[in-house]
Amino acid sequence: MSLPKRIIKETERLVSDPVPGITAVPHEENMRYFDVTVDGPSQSPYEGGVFKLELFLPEEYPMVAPKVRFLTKIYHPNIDKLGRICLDVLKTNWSPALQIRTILLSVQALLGAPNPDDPLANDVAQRWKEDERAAIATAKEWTQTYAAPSETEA
Amino acid sequence: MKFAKVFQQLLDEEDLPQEWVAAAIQYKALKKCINKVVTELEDLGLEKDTLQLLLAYEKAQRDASGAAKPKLVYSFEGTATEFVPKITILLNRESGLPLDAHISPDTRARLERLVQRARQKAASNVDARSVTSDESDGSSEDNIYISEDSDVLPNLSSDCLTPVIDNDSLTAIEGVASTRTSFSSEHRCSRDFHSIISPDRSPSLSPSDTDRLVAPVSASTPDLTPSSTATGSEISAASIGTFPEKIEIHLHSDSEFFHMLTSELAALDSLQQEQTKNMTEQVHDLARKLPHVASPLNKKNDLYVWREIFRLYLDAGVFFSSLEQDHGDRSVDRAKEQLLWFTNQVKAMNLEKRFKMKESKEIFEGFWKLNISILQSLQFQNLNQTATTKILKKFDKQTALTTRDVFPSFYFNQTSTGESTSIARSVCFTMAETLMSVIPQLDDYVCPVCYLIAYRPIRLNCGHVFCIRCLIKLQRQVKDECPICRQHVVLEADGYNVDYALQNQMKLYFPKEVKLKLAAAQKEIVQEQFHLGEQKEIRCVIQ
Ligand SMILES: [Zn+2]
Ligand SMILES: [Zn+2]
Repeated sequence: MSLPKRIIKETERLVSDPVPGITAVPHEENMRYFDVTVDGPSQSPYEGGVFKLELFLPEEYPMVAPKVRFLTKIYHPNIDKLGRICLDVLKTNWSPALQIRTILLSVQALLGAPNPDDPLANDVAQRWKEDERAAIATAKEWTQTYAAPSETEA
Repeated sequence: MKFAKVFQQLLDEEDLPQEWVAAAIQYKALKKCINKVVTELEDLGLEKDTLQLLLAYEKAQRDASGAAKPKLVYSFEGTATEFVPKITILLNRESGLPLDAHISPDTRARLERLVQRARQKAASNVDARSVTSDESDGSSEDNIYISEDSDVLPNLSSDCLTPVIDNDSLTAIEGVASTRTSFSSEHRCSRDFHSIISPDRSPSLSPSDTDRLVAPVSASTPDLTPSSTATGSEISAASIGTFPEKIEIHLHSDSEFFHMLTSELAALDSLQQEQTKNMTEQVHDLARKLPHVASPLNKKNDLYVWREIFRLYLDAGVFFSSLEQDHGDRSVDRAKEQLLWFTNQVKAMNLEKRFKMKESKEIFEGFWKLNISILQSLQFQNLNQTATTKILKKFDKQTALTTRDVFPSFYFNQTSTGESTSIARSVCFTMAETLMSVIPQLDDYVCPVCYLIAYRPIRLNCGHVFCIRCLIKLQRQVKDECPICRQHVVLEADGYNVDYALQNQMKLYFPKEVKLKLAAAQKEIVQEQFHLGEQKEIRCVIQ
């Protein structure tokens, strides 16, 4: 089935005018499926890390939000073990005027501003509230262990 | 290769109009002038090493105490057209010595001599040419002024300038001063040399003095030492027994250098304004001609070709980039590249050949030439900026004076030259406003949900426009929020929200896109009905 104009346009712009610190490349055999990387924001525990995600545009897109999931392990109160993200614009606050690029920017912003009061990963959120310094240290450790940029990309 | 040579070559090569080349920065002449400055400074004992020491001392002081305590300051005073560059050396008020810097005894001796001469001169001027002996040494020290007035250092923070006058310490100072043989005999007549002596206020100068003072600055700018005679006498009365606070040195050659440079900058500026005016007029001219060949009301028109051309031009972002990575002004080289890309695209798409009206071809040529002119003037502007930066750098390198810190801020604060007089920016703005706007671009008429032309256009009560298909889908999902502003306006929309004026405009300017959109919508409706059918079947099975 042919791809809607909207998806073609969005994909073109992601390539021709990429967002700094974010890449999104569609699969050749399924143009609705994207390999995504997001750089950890500076001055966050995720700084220096390059996080892999997958993004899928359902048939009803943009009437429904894209499905986004972290593939790289990450220690964050709003991201669970399976990489699922608790982010309002991906759920109830989705608007069909939002785009792949704006969603990925929101994901990047979430890394810079963890919100333990609206947790998805309860154990992480708990630790974040009880001992923020220790939690941040763990997040940094995980970033170094799991999100170090691979040499081919560097 | 030397920059002077490169600069000249570029001016020759770029095939620039003759009057542009004539207005370019006279790099060679300025370079010669720097040599004169060096000689003049050497005559004064202020060669590079000494100046460097004094300036280094200034920096050290600043770092240690946090507050700046400069012992030597290079500054500009006046307006953009009438100004004096001057070197100010602060003196120790108590000892009358030039400074406390860790400079060689040799230099110190020379600086002391400098102060002494200045004071002699001051005395001689006031005493009606009673002392004229210092003329004979042939140096340019007649432009050295002793000053007590803090106003003469306009660029300094006041805390380092406030004179601390302590009358009670008179004897103590005398005590100190008497140990310094070179000054002991003179400090008592401080009343005289405390007055600020400037050449224009010294009618008693001897003829040879006057000759030497006919330097561009002193001669043409009689009001430039604003420290008035009134304050002169006042301060001197209050400060009997102390030494003057600073000496000022006005060089002939640096004044010549900077007046040459500023008059060139001014000429360049007016040339640039003239160019902007010409190019803007050309844009208006094209904008007057374009509607005739592109109007959809004419049966034969080039609307679609022109839209394609302008879309390519906007995509090229010839002079400015709107991309995330390199947002802003383009460099000349990059602009050249982008213009080339645009030209090649137009060729590759055979757009010129697709013109149906012969006037279109002329307008396109005018448009292309205009872009070349903008590019050339950008290049010219760039060259001159580089030349200016380079010549100031050379000035500083050869004299150790801090021109680059002082001159640009002084000059560009005084003139409007500093603020965005970029020809490209100004002309491109006019181009977008008057020329491009003749041809509506699809991007301004698309539905923000499906990215197709927003036909038929539904204007929600918040003002945002969507195509009727996307609106119906939102209503089916019972989503009441406008996708753009989230106001609750979707469900209340009905037939009254169709924007008929916009609809007519779309039909007129985008007939092809409207047709495509209608076809796409039709296809979707069929699919939906098919799906509905499927669902019904499933339901049937369940039942
Ligand atoms: Zn739509
Ligand atoms: Zn709205």
